[in-house]
Amino acid sequence: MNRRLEEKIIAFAYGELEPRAEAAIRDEISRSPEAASLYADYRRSAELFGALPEAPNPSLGTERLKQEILSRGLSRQPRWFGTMGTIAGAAVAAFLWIMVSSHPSRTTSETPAGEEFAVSATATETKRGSVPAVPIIKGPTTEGLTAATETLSHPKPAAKKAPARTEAWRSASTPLRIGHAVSSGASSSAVPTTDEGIVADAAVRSFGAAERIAPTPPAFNGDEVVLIESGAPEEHGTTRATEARFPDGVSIGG
Amino acid sequence: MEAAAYANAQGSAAATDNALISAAKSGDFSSFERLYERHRATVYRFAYHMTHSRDEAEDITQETFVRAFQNLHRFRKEAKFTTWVLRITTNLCTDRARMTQRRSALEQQEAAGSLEWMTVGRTVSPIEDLEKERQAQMVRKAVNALPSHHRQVLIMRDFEEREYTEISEILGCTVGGAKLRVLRARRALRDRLAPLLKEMEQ
Repeated sequence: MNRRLEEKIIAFAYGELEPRAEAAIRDEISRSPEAASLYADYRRSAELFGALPEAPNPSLGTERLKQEILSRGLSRQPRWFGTMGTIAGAAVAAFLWIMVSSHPSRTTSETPAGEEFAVSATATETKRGSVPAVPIIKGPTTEGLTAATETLSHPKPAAKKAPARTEAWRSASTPLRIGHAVSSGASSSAVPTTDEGIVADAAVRSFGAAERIAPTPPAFNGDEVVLIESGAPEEHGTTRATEARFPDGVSIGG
Repeated sequence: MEAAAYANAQGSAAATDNALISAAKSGDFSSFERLYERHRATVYRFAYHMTHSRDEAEDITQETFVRAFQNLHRFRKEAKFTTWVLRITTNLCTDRARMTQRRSALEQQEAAGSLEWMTVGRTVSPIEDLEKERQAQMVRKAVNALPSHHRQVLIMRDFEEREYTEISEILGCTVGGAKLRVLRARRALRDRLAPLLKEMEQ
């Protein structure tokens, strides 16, 4: 049976056929048993489907809907609300940007190296959690450098957690630097060369930014002298130091 | 204009859907409640015939109106609210059908059996007419076995007797497309009902 005729038979069975086409289909059904069988099938399936029971009464109340809407935190707001929200957000963002850009930025040179390093190390430590604390270096003094180097040279339990990285650094061609603790002008013995030292070095390096934050103390030069402000309080020492160069022939000290 | 719509929605019982929608859009929840009261039965019936479960149909109906409320600003006035909510219902039913398909065959059978026993309204008593009930169950099973898109159009056209124009709007297709879908769905139903039809013929 061709598709077109089948479509017409289906439409006829469902009562959708145009009245003028009905006569032709009736005629076809009466002549062809196949068409008659097809018509009977569609007619019955339409009846069976139509005879399906109606839906039982629902227990739908407006209160239930209201609760559902409220529980999801949905609320219909006027259209202008969204626009106002966007404008307010943009205004706050602009204000913050202006505040940030107009505020004088704090540079590393303004801050004592020890303080910066301490803050940086503490922040990083909190973030990483497992990395052990690195000693806070109070300032670029020789004692401080030595103390820091010594402390770093001792193995830390948590620092051993990254042996793979240590291996990578071990194979590096240039020695790793421990921020300001190992200055370019310091003696080579200050640079940790032992395994422990490398581990400690790795621990310091893992803190990151130490090299960036802490300035490198200048190497001692015989011509240069640091003048320390007189009358500084005993508790914390001087806050100012001036570097001066003396001409040849000037003796300093006793 | 919105204030006028609001007053209209409050005062007149014969307020149009559009007036209620305008009022609901401006924040009047009672107008949305009236919309819900007006159309929930339509949505529920459709959902019930799609799922054959009262609980699921109720859930779908509620979800439909929650989504309608959420997306009320997207409703275009030129469309009919019924068409719009039925479109949401159709999508929800399709999603649910997809989820059901993912279940294992055993789970599906068990769930269908228990849900049917628990939730399907038995308007015909099995004592009064066992044969009719058996047939109805077979038809229901055959309808349930149809793909969701076939079921949707069959319910819309042959159960709810909607016009092809409306079906096309709900489905987001042309009238010709809607007719074609209905035709295919009828063919599929007839194929599914073939054993029962043969039995009836004998």
